[in-house]
Amino acid sequence: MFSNRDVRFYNHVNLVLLFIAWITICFSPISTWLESDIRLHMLVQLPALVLLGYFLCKQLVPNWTVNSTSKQPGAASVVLALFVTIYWMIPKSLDAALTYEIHSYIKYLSIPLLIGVPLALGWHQVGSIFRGFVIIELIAMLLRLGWLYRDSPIRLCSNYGLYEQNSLGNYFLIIAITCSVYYSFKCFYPKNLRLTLKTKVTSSK
Amino acid sequence: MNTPIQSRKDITPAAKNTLLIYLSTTLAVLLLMMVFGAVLRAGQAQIINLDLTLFYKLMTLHGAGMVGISGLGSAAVMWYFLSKYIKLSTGILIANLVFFLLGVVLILGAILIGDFAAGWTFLYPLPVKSMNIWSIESAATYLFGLLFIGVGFLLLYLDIGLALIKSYGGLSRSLGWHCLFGNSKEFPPATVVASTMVLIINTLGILVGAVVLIISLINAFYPAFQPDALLVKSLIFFFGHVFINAAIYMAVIAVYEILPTYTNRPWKVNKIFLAAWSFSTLMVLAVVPHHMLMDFNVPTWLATIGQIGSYISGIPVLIITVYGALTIVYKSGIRWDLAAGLLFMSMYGWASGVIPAIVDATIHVNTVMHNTQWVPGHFHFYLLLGVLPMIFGFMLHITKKPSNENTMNNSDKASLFIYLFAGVGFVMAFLYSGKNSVPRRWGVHLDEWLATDQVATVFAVLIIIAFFVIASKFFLRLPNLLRH
Ligand code: HEM
Repeated sequence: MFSNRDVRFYNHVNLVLLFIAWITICFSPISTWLESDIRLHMLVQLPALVLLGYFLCKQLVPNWTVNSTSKQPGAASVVLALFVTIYWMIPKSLDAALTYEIHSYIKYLSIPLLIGVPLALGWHQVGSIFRGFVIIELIAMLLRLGWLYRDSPIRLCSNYGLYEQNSLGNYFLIIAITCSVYYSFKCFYPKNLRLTLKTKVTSSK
Repeated sequence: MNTPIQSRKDITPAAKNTLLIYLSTTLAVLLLMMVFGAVLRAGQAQIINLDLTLFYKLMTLHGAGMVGISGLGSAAVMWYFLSKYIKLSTGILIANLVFFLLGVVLILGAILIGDFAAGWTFLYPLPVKSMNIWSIESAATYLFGLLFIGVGFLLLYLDIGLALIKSYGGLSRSLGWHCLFGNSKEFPPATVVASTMVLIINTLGILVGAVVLIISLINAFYPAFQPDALLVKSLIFFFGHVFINAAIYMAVIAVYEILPTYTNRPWKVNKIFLAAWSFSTLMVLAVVPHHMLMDFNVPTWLATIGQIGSYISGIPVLIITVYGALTIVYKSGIRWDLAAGLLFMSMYGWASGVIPAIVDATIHVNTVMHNTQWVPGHFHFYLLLGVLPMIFGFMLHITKKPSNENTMNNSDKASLFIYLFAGVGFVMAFLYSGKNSVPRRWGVHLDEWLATDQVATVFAVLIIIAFFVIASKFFLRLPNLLRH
């Protein structure tokens, strides 16, 4: 197995890799490419930024727990993440990020730090009803946005074409339906799911 | 001796009081909505001169109020019994009530102050095309009111769902699939099976409702976005259909739990029972196309699913429940009291009300009967004479001091008889009008239709009197219970 020194070394490597990824997503030809199409922008760049913040936080403070039995700190951070998510779901915010440089910096910073990090800190601290509610609301939101992006006769983001927008709507619907099927299955067979995942992990070793 | 609700040691006093508030709210709202219903019928009968805007405001309120309150009363039934088997959160029970009441305030404000009158089904584009009778803001307030009620119920179902998964190891097991498809003999209790079904269908229903409500709101404030009207309608009916079905399936738990206590014959869960409930879980969701039989673009195969599905959807659960109730009561030497009488009566109301429903789900009949008073005829049958008596039986049972003498006094007998008699008369008047092609949702009726309307109004008043007697029995017991 790894020694403590090895673990520390790998942690540093991971951190450096995460920072490189951050820079690449935000300031490189890749970022221009990711922002050239609304589908890549919404479905790849923004989620990637969230994941980045999430893993960065997990890497820096792996065993962070609140020193209290209350669920409030967790709830507060998840609520913060939700509000920032709502902000970035508004098409106008995306437009602004593409038009004004300062707004793009706000995007590159706020999504990892105000969505990814709070989720990493808070998601497992809140009760399961809260989490369930957020998941259902997220699925509902994807269905609504999917419908809106498919059917809106007007371009919601003035930087992107109508065709890409409608196609993004379809992707939202597909993601929402996939999530619903996944969570329904999990509710019906919570143990089996964990079992199948575990056996896969062990068999792949 | 304590009443059943007082003797429960496994739920907190706060939960008991909340349940009693659920039931009191249910009765108060029912009374108000019944009076509005009678005013509607009296208006159609031209017994009173009802302003047409007021007619549609009251119709909207009556529809939304009755559907919502049946949900709340039935949820109390489910929670009370389900908490015997799994640990449920009192906080969430209270939260649901708070969200419900907030929703009610918004809906009342939108209708009574804001003049919203588009019908409880808020079918697009009517809410946003009111010809200046109500404002966009009133329509939005109404939609937010429904959304609040949905949020409350969603929280309740999440709590129940998580507790079921934790205690039974997944919804497949709380539906009893390990017994149905395997050799296990560990049958889940009837209440758990029914609650699982309700939880599945209503979470889906509310999810769809939450989508279509926000879509309607987006359209209200961003009119350039015009959703497909038929899709909106189909989704609204999916949500409404599932919600009211769930109310029936929550309330029927009262029959499973209470009737056996009168006859000392337990309600046995077997493979047939499990199969029936699993089947109905699927079918309740699959039969929604029966609301779309007249939509021009519905493909034949979908309409056919709607028709055949309707024939077989509720039937399995209905048969095993009614049959079960009969076998529990038959030659048991049961000593009737008002609660048992009401529960037994609910079996009649449910079983009989389904017959005109199935008739109307037949495509050929629907071409004639669609949107006639046949429709309120069938649903008033199983709601007025099925679901409500289940809730009444429940509330009288849990608040009654046990005694060996389960007897009915004269006022009990009279109220039971009048409720049944007037209830049947009232729904028959709707069905008769439907047979004569009287349209539903019309404030002004032709002279030929008035006689039926007038008879129906008399029956409506009789129902309200009988209901009042039944409800006062509960309210007289309430101060004592709350003090404990
Ligand atoms: C005394 C009892 C009642 C009376 C007098 C009454 C009366 C009425 C009347 C006159 C209508 C309009 C019929 C039409 O479309 O022409 C109506 C509709 C309706 N009622 Fe009732 N009703 C009663 C009880 C109930 C109950 C117990 C429920 C449900 C639990 C209920 C749910 C509804 C619904 C959902 C509508 C449809 C409203 C719409 O079309 O938008 N009613 N009722």
